[in-house]
Amino acid sequence: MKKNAKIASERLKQVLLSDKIAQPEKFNELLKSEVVTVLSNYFELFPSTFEINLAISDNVIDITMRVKGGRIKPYGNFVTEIH
Amino acid sequence: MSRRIVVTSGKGGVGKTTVTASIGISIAETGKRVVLVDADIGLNNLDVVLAIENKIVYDILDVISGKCKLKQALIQDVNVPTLFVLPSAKICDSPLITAQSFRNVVHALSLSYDYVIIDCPAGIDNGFHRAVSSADEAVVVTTPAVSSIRDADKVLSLLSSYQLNSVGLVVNRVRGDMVMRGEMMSAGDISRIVRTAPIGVIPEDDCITMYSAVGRVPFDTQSGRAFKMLATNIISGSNYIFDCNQRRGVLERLKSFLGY
Repeated sequence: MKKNAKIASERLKQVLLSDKIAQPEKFNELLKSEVVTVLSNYFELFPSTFEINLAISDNVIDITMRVKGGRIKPYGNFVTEIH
Repeated sequence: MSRRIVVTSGKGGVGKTTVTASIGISIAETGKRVVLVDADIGLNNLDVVLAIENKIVYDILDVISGKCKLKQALIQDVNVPTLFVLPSAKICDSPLITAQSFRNVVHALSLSYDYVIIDCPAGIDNGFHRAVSSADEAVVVTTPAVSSIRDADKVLSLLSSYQLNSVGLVVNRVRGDMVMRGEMMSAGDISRIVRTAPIGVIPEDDCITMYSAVGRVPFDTQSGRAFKMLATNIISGSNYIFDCNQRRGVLERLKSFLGY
């Protein structure tokens, strides 16, 4: 039989994980639109073909982004935008 | 240089006020000048824990509104002359008590005291912000209950957005016998899960209930010794952790000392 401390510890870890990944309203839309703004300085991309995915585990957040059919902007374009 | 420490927890009833009072007394007993600030506006209890509720003439609201001078509102402890208390407003929240006005009071206190210890209200709203933004260091109190640790974890994550020099965890109300039987999470388990090192472990102690009824924090007891260790850790940065199960063997005690 599992000891109570072990059960409590597992429940706690589960609760903390679900607290950690709970996303506020419009989180995805806002994140996506801001990232698209930044990436547009570097890539030619259509927001509709842009995907962003989060995989959250105990102590790592993996953020995967995918731009379908995009291309890197010619060098000169984003250098001027940075300055 | 004065130290400004906030004692917080998120969840209510975990012992913030008892911890605040106890470390305040322990630090003041070493001769340092300590002032305790009750930031729990409207739901103040620090006065009752320290048995000074009948001595309050002015409170923090009177100071902020200019009705009295800061010194007039401070209450000196009878037993420990280097310990002072600034009572919180008795009635209710006032628009005058803003984060800025609270910070100003804490700053003024830090000029003439070695330690300003702030008893934070429960919850994570304005009162929390007011108390935490006035401090440089935080002590987060939790019990071994899942609900309490969860709230402590949230508070720890909120604290990371404040400019604090240090954040320490206090695990309160630990039953050594239950930990030994695997019925309660140990302070080590809790500290690993919330990724914060413990600076104090306080055993469950009936004396706290008994003494708090008459209005005094016990010191010749297990919990009293644990509070003294906590105070020493705060003063000197040492890492003495109270062993809640004194009957354990040397190896077990060594393990708990090393945090395993």
